[in-house]
Amino acid sequence: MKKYVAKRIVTIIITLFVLSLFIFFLTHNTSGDPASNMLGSDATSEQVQALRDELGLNDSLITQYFRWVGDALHGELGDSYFRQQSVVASIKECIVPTLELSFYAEMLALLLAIPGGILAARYKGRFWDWSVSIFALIGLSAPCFIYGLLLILYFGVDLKALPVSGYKTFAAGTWNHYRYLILPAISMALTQAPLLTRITRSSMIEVMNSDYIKTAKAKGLSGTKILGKHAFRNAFNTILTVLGQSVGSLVAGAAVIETLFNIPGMGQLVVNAVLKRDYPLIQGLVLVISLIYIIINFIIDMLYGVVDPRIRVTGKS
Amino acid sequence: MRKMRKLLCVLLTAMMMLSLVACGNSSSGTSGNDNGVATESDLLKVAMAVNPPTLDPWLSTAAAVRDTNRGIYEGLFELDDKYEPQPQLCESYTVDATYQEWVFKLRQGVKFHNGKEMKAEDVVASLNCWLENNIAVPSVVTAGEKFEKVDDYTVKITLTKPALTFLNVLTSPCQFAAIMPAESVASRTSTGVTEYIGTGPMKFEEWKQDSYVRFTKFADYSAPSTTLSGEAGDKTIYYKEIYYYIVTDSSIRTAGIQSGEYDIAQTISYDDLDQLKANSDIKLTKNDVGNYAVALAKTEGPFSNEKVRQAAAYAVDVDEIMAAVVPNGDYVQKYSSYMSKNGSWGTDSGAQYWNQKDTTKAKQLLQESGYDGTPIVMLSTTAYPTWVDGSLILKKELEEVGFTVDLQIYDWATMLQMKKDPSKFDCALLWWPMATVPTALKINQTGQDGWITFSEVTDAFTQMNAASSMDDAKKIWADTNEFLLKTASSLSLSYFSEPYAMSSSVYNFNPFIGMKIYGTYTNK
Repeated sequence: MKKYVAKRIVTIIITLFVLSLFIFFLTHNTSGDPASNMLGSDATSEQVQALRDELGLNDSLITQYFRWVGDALHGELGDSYFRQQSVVASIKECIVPTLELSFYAEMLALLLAIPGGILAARYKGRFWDWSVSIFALIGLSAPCFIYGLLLILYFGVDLKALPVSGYKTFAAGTWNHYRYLILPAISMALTQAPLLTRITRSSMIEVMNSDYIKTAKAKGLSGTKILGKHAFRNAFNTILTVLGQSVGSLVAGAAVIETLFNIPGMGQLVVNAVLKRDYPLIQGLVLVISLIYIIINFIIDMLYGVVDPRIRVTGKS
Repeated sequence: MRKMRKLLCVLLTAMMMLSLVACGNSSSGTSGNDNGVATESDLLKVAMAVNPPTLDPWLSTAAAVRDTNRGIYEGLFELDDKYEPQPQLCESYTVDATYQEWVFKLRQGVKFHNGKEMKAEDVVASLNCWLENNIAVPSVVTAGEKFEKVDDYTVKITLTKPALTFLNVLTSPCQFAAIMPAESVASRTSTGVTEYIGTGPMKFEEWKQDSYVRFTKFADYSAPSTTLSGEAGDKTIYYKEIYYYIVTDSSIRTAGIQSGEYDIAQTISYDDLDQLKANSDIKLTKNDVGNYAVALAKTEGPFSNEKVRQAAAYAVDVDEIMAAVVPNGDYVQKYSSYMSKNGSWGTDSGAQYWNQKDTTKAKQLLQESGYDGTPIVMLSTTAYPTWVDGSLILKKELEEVGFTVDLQIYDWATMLQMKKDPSKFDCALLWWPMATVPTALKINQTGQDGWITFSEVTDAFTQMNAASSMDDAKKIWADTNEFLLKTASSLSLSYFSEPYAMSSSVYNFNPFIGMKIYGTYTNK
């Protein structure tokens, strides 16, 4: 196990190094210029060049790359050109809303998907199976911002029940905090739940057809016990893999929902950084988001061992 | 199965609770009841359309910067609603007969947000920094000329050239001549000031990047004795706390004003006007933005040839393009003047060269020009979808008379970069913000959209500044306006405004060249 963990850590370090090269050169070779953006459309070329000089943007790309990597190795990702704060501080400020939103959306998705998938598998080919499949199909058919807009129109504009945009910390009150996250979390969950539902359903059906389930049935165990104790536990490995990818994509893909609902999270930060060509912020964000993705997958790999004793015993993953 | 039933019950209960919450709050958004008396409220929530790149008053020319920081700072002079400069932090001024020595007497007892009294050294530091940064300054001030302190409450500047329009330049809305403490100027870096301290009625509290800017009412605001007109006069605020939320999606701004989330929403989509007009809880108003035009790169490429430019001018159907960029005719002011007719610089001189829609003449001019079919690179941006709509119409109109057009659509940052290099584009449909003096018009500035370098224009500006009266200067400008239209230095389209929405309980909200909430109050 220790050998496996060490191997994974080395892989992560190599991945991050390749990623740093990719992020840096791609960002700097994209058209658009942070200095022009900062100074506005009327700034003269001389003013733009003067600001580029001060920001170090006229140095060679190699010099800039090693400066950035050197700082990154010391835990510094540079300063944002526009935010008057360091990249690390910007990320610290924005990561909380994103993690919160992703967590609530994933919980909501699981709440819908696991019972839905089990129900569909248990009543395969019957009313509940069809109902769950139609729900899953509807969820998969439209992007999350469409659900976001529809929810805004109904709950925000028509009923005036929930805020249409913004974010409040717990300091503004617990209910006030949650009410700003309800609509965005539902919007994200509605597109995550169908995939998890389908995976749960298919894994459960596969497990339900296995010999040991037949044996359990022959022994006269109750349907609920077979489903909960024997079938679901074995089907969970597959669900866990998809769950890992789902959490990763929620964190990385919150951009659309955060922009729509004006939530100051990592997704909105990425969008604004790209639009403004805030190079240090783009680089830092992509690096951190990639790291989150890698760590989530690493944790999921470790969890296989917890969920499946066979992996734990053999030490394989 | 019993567990399943329990889960379903939980889900159904949750949905019912959500609906109850919904019904409980559905009565909000009541209509206002105005008795004409401004009363102070706790909070004003404004949805702003554009994310400002900075709050430094001089760094950027972006209109979003002006809209966000104009409540923090004041200038020596401010524009009234006729676009004429009026004293604000200045008590009085004198100027010699040749408009070269300007002496300004400051109002006494005016306090900054940090409690310090505004004195001459603050004004000198602020205005000298403004001189170095404002792009319209070179039209009236020669490099090296500076403001000087005369005494604690008097400053002066001596110019080598006559500058009749000096006060107009001093009141340019973008990169405006904000007054701040000398210490704030001294600590300013290449990315702007590090503290936002002014004398204005809105005290800066917090800037949560990409999310909101929070202000509080400045209790020690020292208002001039004149009543509010445009940006000039008594700018008292009737809210204890003000939030400017950055809401870049217009559909969310519309939804936010409908739901009561915001009290005021900037720049409503023209497509949403009908549904907002039908809502009795919402009122609409207009904000004058600037003029749509087609910038032509003239230093190189096909449009360096005057006849090619004139051919394009004759090919353009202003009505058709404006219908695409501003779909609601109530928000368009169609005229040929480069300067807004809301102010006193507007003119009809040269109107005969504008909106001719004469394709025969256009084809003839294009043939005479020797245009060889080189593709015209037309830039547009996804940041402003209406620009793309207008560009598609413009492309069609130019192609009809024989131009070959290559329409390239980029994001704003890329377009901004390409627009600074005349070798990378030939034309771009865009809008220019409201200018208060012809010398501040972008079209007349070397290195700006279109790269005009006509000596006729430069000479005209020198004459305008040396004119014996403003009326004489305006006559010179009228001739220049005609010259610009005749030579098709750019294709001027029309002035336009945009809708702002407010809750029906908000009163006296009158945007002026952008967001402005002085004098606005809520009366529920």
